[in-house]
Amino acid sequence: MKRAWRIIISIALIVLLLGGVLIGVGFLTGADTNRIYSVLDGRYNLTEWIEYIGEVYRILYSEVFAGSTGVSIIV
Amino acid sequence: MTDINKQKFLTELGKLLTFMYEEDRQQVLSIYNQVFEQAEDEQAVLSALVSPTRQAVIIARSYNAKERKLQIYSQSRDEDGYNAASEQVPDFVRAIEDAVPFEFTLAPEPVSEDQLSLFDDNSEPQSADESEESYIIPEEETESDESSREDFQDETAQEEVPQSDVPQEEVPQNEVTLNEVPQDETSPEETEENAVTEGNAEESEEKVWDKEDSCTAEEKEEHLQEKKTEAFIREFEIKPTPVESSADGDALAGTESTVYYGETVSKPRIFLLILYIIFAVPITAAGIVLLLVPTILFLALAIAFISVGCVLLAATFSGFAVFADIMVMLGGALIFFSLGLLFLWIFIWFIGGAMAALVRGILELARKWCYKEVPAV
Repeated sequence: MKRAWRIIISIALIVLLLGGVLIGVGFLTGADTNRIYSVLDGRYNLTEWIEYIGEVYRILYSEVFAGSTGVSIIV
Repeated sequence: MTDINKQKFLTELGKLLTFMYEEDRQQVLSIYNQVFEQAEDEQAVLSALVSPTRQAVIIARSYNAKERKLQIYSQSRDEDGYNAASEQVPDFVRAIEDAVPFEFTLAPEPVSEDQLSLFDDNSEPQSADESEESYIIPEEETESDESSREDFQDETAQEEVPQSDVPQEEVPQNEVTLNEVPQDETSPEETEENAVTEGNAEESEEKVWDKEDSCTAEEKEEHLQEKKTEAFIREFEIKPTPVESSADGDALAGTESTVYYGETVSKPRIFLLILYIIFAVPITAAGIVLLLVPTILFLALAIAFISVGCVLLAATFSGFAVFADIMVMLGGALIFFSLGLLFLWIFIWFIGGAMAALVRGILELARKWCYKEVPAV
């Protein structure tokens, strides 16, 4: 089991490192986050998903910690 | 008469040197033959050498079959042109030179690779342990060999030996190193013999013996030699190691388990077992449920991250035209994949490691508390 842990962690670290290197290289060569976001938003409706997740979190937070009633989830 | 004594000595020595390679054994016998031939008084030589057993012990201490094989191999592979075999004197030859109190010219024959049987796989000499048995044989066969040894000693005692040349009384005192041999030239093997053979303690014992009769002096030397041989043999004794058996068995299955000495059987204590099951089952269930929460959480995280990584990978090559953006998307996908792999492995570890360890621990506790070891009927 220990050996398996070492293998998995080493693979994960290597892939993580590679991903970081690629991101660094991309930004160094002129990548733009607004352009990336606009492409992803047009393809997968990112803005709506972000708003949806934010609303769910706010409701859950109010229900759990504040104890307010009357749940209404905006879809 | 003298030839018979010399012949008997060499014959006896040849029998005791079976632990050596044949070529080395012949070399040793030829060396002793040269010693006898070059010496003025053969009886003095025989008295100085004491006995073939003693000489065999001295040679055995300085002879290592494996090292000898490597030595011959390295000598035969020497490509410098000059014969290095004549330059390198084997250790056992040096031991003989130190043991023999008389000066003699040594002309060893260089051993070539063709003549040597060291490189034959089937020509291994007897091991040291087996060779020790050959030392034991003279001790065990005292009925047959001791008579020959007594004859050997008697014949030496009958001849008049000049006291100035061979101080016989001093031989037992210096068990290993002879009087004529300077201390500086004593080999490490001889100093080791001093420590092993307990010379001084035995000397005090020997002094108690009756010294008036010459035969008892001979017997004294013989007794001393036997003790030395025994001490030498004791060095090579292999002490038996205790064998321990470990107990390992399945508790709940009620299988037999062997613990320590003798055969034992695990028998359940019924009342305790029932009580244990009553409490252990809900506790185990609660533990498993508690472990299920992080397990499912990590599974969900793993699925989510791997899914996002797949989506990013798909979008990388279909929605982007700028190379820099593609690099960034690819890097992000790899990061999500690595985290997904990590969470997936943690999920597997929870299933196969944590939960399995919990169940195994409960079972082990049951075996300790609810089962007893009884001797097998």
